[in-house]
Formats: sequence, structure tokens, C-alpha cells
Amino acid sequence: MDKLKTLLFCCACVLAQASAQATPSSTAEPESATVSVTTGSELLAKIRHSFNSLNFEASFILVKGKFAESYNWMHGIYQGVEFEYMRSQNGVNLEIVRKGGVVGYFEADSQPHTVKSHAIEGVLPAVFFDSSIDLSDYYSISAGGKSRVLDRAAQLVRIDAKDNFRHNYWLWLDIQTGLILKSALISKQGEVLEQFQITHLNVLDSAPKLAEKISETTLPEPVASTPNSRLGWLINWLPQGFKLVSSNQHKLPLTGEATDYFMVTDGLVELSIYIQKPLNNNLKPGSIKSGSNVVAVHHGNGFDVSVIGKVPAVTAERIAASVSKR
Amino acid sequence: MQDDKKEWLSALVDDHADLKDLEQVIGDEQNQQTWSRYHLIGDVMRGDVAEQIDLDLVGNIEAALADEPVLVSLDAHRSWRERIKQSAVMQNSVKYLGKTANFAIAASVALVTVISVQNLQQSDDEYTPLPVFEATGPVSGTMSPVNLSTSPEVVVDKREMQRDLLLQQQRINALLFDHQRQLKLNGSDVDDSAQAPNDKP
Repeated sequence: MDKLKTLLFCCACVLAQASAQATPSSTAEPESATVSVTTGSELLAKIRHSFNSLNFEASFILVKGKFAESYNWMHGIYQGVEFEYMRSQNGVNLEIVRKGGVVGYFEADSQPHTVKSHAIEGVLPAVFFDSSIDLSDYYSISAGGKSRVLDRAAQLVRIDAKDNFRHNYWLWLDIQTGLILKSALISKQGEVLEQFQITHLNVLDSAPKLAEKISETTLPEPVASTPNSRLGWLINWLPQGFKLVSSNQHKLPLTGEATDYFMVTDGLVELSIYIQKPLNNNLKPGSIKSGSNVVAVHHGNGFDVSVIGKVPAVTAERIAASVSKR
Repeated sequence: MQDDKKEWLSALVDDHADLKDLEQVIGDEQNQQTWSRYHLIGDVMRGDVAEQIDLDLVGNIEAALADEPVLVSLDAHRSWRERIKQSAVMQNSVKYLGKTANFAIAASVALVTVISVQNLQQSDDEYTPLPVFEATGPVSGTMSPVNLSTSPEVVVDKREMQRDLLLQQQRINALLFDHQRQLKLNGSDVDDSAQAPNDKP
């Protein structure tokens, strides 16, 4: 899901930038001039606009660590409603359908579920779809060089973290359309942690036929989100800009284990913080990598804290160690 | 009745027995001893007897084995544990997108495997293995697992460490799966309605 969202976001970014570039460049000169005068927020706005308004069919791959996933993707406006569809091409069959503000996730071996959202989660970050997100305090957004991606002229947009507690995010926007053709999550050390790359793109004048088909289907009722509750924990340290999105108690679907849960985000990445009863073990605290996610485990006094997200291990470990009883 | 069985055993020794009666006859220890004796008689008649006839060969082997040091110890193979851990992490990454479930299942299977192997060892003394015809000696009584008589507390410690490791792995898989789920549930729209954080981090 993360990947999908990331992907979408990237695409949105590309779109926005591309459209941004396209508009000015069409009037006269090279897009570079256009881009150079474009501020970060304008770039993002253009990406969002492209992602939300264009009709296109695409395929992309998502590389997380050593593993690659392949997806088909469709977006279209049909009778004034946005339709979006993604389907995994490798492994377990995953289909994601979005009709306006409702997203349905259909996976081969689990119950389908529907949530209220204007973006498919997991490929591209939410910032490329949601105009209410502002990154500028913690990231610097700048236009980089021109290059060729998917046989198209592309513009690099760098979203660089201003501190060392988060990764950088680079995008390559299609200058013509403003869609994100490629994106990469890159550590401060230059290691590429996750990549999104469109491998086929067909921008259409009208909505793809699939949009029409989807418009005739009905998605299940969206699940209600767990209401936020006040929990007996203090998170004493978060990198600047991370805000609490939700806090609740729930059970882990796989094990049934109860957990106190917090989600925080800086607009580009989300972190999950789990506080659970300690496991009776003598394993050392620390962190492991899972794809582009890091999982940090800290043994508190009578509780275990686990922090998961796409941040450097030190960040996750420090957050985990900062949790205390209220 | 008893004589019937002996007759049947005699036939068995000579490969003429009807095997459908096998189960009921061999369950009886007395019959097992009889069976051994008949083999011995047969061996004597054929002149196949060793110089020294040891009627309690199995018992002696068991006693000897009990004194043997344990050759394979989990403690001596810490690197294996590391490897298991690494492979678990790798699997984890593969299943990134909602496939963590499968890995958790795999991990559970591994757990079950470990536990059942352990159980198998524990319960070895609870069932009587069928005498095997190509057995190297007369079968009497039951076989004890080789390492059962080695200090059981040590074995339990190793098992617990293995189990803890698997539990930890299971939990991490469950957390990763839940993280993906929470990301979906906390899509931007939901945030708007639910954004009333009670807890200021």
C-alpha cells in the first residue's frame, strides 16, 4: 500500500511538475527556465493537478530493497468522477479501485476492505495528492537537472530533508504531462531505498474504458476509522514536523496481540509506533530493515516499543527509546 | 490361544506368517521375547550364532548410548540462528505488500515444526515402535531417544530461545502487516475527520 501511495504521489509530482513546465514552456522557451522559477509548492501543486485531472494508462515497477513489484495503473475522469485502478502483476493478486473519495482494496487471500481516501496508499506519498500537506519547513524542494526517463524529457525535482532524521525523496517529472515518471527514496548516505519507475505510459484524451466499467460497480461500505483515544504514553521525542495522526488501541490482525498505537507523519512519511506487553525474551533491542521500512524495537520498563516507517534507523530507535508512561 | 500366537510367530520367523495378525501379536512383550527366541533358535540351527550370545543386546546399546556425549548442540551453532534470523528478515521484505501474512504463516509453520520435533523427541518413550524385520537384533522393550537421558534442562533452554526468536519474528511480521493496514486506514481523508489528537507527542 505504501508503495502504491508512493507511486501515486510520485506520479502526481511528475504530473504537476510536468504540467507546470509544459504550460510555461509552451509559450516560449526551454522548460528549464520554467522549472527554475517554479517554487517547491508550485511544483507540488502542478503534480497534484496532473494526477487528479489526467486520463492515462500506465505500468510501473516498484523496487523496495532487493525486491521488485510490478503494477498496472489507470486513472481517468468519467462523468466528472475520478476513477483509478491498480493491479499487481507479480505474486499475490492485489487490485485497488478508487471511485472519487472511496478506495477499495481487494487482495487474493484476505477480506476486501474499503476506506475513505482520495489516494491509493502505498505507492506515492500523500503529499502529491493532498494539497493540505506542506513540506517546506522540513524539506527543501528544488528543481534539478533534465534527463531522459521513459524516452521522455524529464525534470528532476529534489525533496531533500533539512535534517538527518529522514530520507530524501527525488522525482523525475514528465515535462510534457507533469506526471511522475520515476521517483526514489534516497538515504542521506546516497543509498537508494525504494524506487518507482513507470515503464509504460499512455496519456489519453478521454477516460479509459476501464473507468466506465468501474463506474458501474459498487464498492463495499468504507470501514469506520478507529476513533482516537487518549493513551497512557508520552512520546518524548519526534523529529521536528512530525505530528500525531491517530492514536488508538487495537489488535494485530495476524497474531491477535493487543497494542497501543500511534501514527505520526511529517507529510512525506508515516511512522507507526506500537506499545505492547513485553515478549518474554532476552533478544537485544535494535532495528532491522524490511524493504524500505525500518523496524526499531526498544524494551521499556515493563513494555516493548516498536517503531516502523521509512526513516533512518537512528530516528526510529530514538523515537522508540523516548516513549515513557504518562 | 497363546500357542496359536506362538505358532504364528514361528511362521513369521520363517516368513510364512499371515501379516494381518501382525499388529495384535507384536503388541505383547511376551510375544516379542518369544519372537526373539525363535530367531535365536533358527540362528543356532543354521549355525549363524555368534560366539557370545547376548540376549539383552538392545538394552546394552541403550545403556551405552546414554553415556555418549551429545555431538550436536544448538549452542555450538549460533551462526545457524543468525542465518535463520536473516532469512526471516529477507522473507519479510519479499512479502512486503500485504504478504507479511504469508510469512507469518511460514514462521508459524517453522514454529510448529520446531515444537513438533521437540514433541516427537519427548513422546518417543510413549509409543512402542513396531519391530522392524530388518532390525539388527531382537526387539525387546522400547527404544529410548538417544538424547533423552542428557540433561533435560539444557534442552529446554535452547527450545525457549528458539521459541522466543520465533515469537519475536512473528510479532515483527504482524507489526509490519498492521503498519501497512494502518497506512490505508489513515488515508488523508480520514485524517481530516479524525484529526483531534488527544496526545501531544
